[in-house]
Amino acid sequence: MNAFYALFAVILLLLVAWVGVGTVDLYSLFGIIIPYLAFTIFILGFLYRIIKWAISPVPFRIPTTCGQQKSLPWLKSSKLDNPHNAFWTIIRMALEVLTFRSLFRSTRAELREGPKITYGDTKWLWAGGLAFHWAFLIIILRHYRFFVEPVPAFVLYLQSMDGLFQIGLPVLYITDAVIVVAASYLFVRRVFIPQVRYISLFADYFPLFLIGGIAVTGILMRYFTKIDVSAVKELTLGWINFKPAAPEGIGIMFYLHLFLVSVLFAYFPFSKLMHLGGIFLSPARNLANNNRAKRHVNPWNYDVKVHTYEEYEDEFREVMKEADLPVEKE
Amino acid sequence: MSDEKLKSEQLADIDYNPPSKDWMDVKPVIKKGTFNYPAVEASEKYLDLPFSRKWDPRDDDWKLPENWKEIVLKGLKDLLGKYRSFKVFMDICVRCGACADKCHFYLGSGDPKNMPVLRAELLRSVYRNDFTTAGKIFGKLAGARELTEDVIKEWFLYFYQCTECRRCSVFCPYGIDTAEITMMGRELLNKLGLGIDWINTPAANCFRTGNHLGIQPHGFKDSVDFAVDDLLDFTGIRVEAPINKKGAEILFVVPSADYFGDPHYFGFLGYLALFHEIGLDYTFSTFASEGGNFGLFHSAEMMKRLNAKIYAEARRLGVKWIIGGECGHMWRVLHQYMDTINGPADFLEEPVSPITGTKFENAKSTKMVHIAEFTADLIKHNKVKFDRSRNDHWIVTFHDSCNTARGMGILDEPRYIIRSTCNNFYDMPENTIREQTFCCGSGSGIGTDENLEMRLRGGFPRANAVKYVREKHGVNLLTCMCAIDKATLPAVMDFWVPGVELAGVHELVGNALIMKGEKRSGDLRGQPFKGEEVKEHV
Amino acid sequence: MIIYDILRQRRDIILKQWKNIALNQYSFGDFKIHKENNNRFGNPVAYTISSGLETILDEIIAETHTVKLDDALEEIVKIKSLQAEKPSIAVDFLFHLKNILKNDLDDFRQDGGYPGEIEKLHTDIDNLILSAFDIFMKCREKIYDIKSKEIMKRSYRLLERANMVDPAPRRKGDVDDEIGC
Repeated sequence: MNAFYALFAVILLLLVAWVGVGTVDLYSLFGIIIPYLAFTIFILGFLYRIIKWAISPVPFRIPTTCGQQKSLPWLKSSKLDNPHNAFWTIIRMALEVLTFRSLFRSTRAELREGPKITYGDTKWLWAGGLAFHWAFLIIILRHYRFFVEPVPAFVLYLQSMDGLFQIGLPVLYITDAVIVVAASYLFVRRVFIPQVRYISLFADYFPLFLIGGIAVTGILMRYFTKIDVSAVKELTLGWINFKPAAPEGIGIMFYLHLFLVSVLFAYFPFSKLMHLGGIFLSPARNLANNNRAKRHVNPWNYDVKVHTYEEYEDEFREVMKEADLPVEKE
Repeated sequence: MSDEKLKSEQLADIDYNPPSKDWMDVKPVIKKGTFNYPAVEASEKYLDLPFSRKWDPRDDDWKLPENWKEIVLKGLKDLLGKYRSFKVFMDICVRCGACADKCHFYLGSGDPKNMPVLRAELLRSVYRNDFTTAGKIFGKLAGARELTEDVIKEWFLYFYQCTECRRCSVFCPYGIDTAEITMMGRELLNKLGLGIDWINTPAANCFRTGNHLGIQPHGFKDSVDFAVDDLLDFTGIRVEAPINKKGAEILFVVPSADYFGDPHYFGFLGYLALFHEIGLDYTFSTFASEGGNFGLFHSAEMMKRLNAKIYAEARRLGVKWIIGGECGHMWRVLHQYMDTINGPADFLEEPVSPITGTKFENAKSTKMVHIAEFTADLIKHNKVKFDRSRNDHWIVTFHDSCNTARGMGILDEPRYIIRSTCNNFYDMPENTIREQTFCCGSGSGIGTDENLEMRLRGGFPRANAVKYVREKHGVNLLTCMCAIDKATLPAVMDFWVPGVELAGVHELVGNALIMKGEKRSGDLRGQPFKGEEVKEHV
Repeated sequence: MIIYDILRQRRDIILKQWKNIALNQYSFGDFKIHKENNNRFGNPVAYTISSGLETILDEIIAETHTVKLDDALEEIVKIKSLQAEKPSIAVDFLFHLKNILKNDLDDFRQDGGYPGEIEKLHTDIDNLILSAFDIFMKCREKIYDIKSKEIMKRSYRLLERANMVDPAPRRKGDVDDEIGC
């Protein structure tokens, strides 16, 4: 049911843009005001969320240790999975963020026995997730070419790498194909694995459909319903230079694309997509396991009612003396 | 009939039946064998806990305080402000499901609310409803639900069906730690007087007598004396076991089960034998007669209250540093919390082994060393001699305890000790040991009799791996370094893999240790060594 | 032995059906446990049940009854004894086999069938059902046995008797309550 609602929501959004631009000609609204607004919400919202997390202190150092600790010098410690200093913690985090190391762990060599063992989902989840995120990142970086003139070398390089296979005209970007396939996979597994469907919320399907919609509209306007790229660049450079003007005749597909992107930006800070920022703040991963070597300070550590030795001895002095246990006060 | 009859091929294609109801619409079922008894009023009152009362989880009316909702929401707000971990974990889960089949309770019980992700959602849904914009506007569509009495009942059921073992956290791409969420959930429940007896009564005992069992100072002394006598019987040597001795170099703190529980006790004899042999200047304390800390299973505050005595005794007795015995959650507290909550321990010295001169750099701030680190160092420096064949009647495997594996990382020290003290050691399969170790199913204060069936379910993944090494190598001894494991795994083994016994690592040490002037009559359990039983009959 | 020939041919299909029903049965309400991760150690319940069913079916088809069959039956019923509230639910996977076989063989049955063989097949399964009941009872007894052993082992009680412990004191006016529901 949640999946239907999410699909419906995205279709509704497309209709809004279709009507807004296609029939009512609200070019400025959809080409300037909404993108500006969405971007502002994104920046402020993102900062707000990060600050909100950051103002909560980290009272205890609680890394999840996934390997041998550093203790005796002759025992080999697992620096990566149980980092003992900031350097290795950064490496651990980097691998986590760039390669999804923890997700990959589920697929580590297992004894293959028994009749029919299907390894199924775990490995695919890692591969699908990684493909999705990397494709997304590269696509965003590729879009940088719309915002600067001349286009920087790294973007051109990225673009040529992405189009390496030289299929079709215009050249098919690998990432375009990858993101559609990966997003479809992530959706399909959500629906068809009963356990995952059981835990899935509207908020899990919606971003998938939204990003899927963005990818599809993007692909459509690049390969099928050609749009006026120079007019687009005029618009995007206008945003950057704060002299926005929404040229007509770019093509409706562009506005559909742009509107969904705007919605994604505005939705981002209020959604689970904030895992982008949150992963860096997870105390189970971003702290070194050097607890006993370096004291961690809890800013709200307060005094509590304890049972002192004096109270204890007062209560048990007689029996202690009888048992020949030394006491402080005779 | 033939119409209803499904053809074989069609039947084979039925792969799953989707659940018809949303999990939020499934009401908690409180039935025997899945919940723990509530705490008795006396214990709660002794600890000044709020709303202690007589109540029964199976009743409809839990006699919650009138303003329970306000208390929970205020408590939740408070915790969100105090813990970044909690706040971040409430927000960033993407429900990828990677954790789902990593929980021993889920694997063993099949109850979907035991999937770590859903256990956390029990709390997240309330958080979204009352603390997030999206939840306030979109309600259920945003995964939010209202806090009702049923939600509280659900929390009680499932936050006491989590052993805080952190296995899910290992596989989570963001490291989301269900233990952390369970801790917060329990803290909230305790604000409503919904604690369980197996946690709050030991905590009350510990607060008063220094240990969970409520053993008074003379009782402690009796049991140590008893152990000294037993050791005399088994080795022919009378060892010293100083108690409350001022000016000793080292304070030795063990979980209280070590000197009373079975099979913990045999490992306790191992400590005594080892310390005698190397001539260690140490002392026990009757006041700090418990390293374990059931406060951890109640709240951060209770943990601090119970932990305070360790540094206090170290100061009063004037020792230089501290050694801690074999225990799981005790070491989670000592390693990750003690220095922060009750430190700094600037009145102690940085630990240096008086026997080998090794500086324990990794413990230079907390000043507390794990017995396995200490012993491994002794063995490495050849300060002790072993006759491994004395453990030949055991074929050994090792169970990494959750807290020491995933909250500390002490994995190779015990293996080094085991390999040095016995001839037959076989590890269990890779995805069931070290950081991927399966919990005993009874940790975090839920190892009760009334909860036995749940524990057996949760213990199955562990037992299954033991069964494998038993079939393959004939393993008959499961060693571990955790008092709760030693207390509860015997039941799990008895049910799933009969014929496998439990032992602490230092029981093997005590058996194999060659002591000057010893006259060994058998192992520390009073059993003859392998080969000896034949000789006797000849 | 026509029936057994057919069974041998249809073994994989029968097994797949049986596993599906038995594993779907191992469920909570209408939520189904992970069947995908069928790793012996990663998901021991799914593994134990599915490999156990395979052993049982193979022995039935081969008309043998070895220790392996008894072990497989015991492993499955052991799990079920903890899951199912009633013995009828715990052993019904064997009844499912009967149904599957009945449906399956009906398609191949020629006029008149082969009653002698069918009867033998059913008797074999009935005997397994009886054993399963025995195992279920044994497991339940074991659970209570463990429970009582654990209570007895609890040194706390002994100490209490030896007057060596004294739990947190009851304050004046406290209701002297007992743990336990």
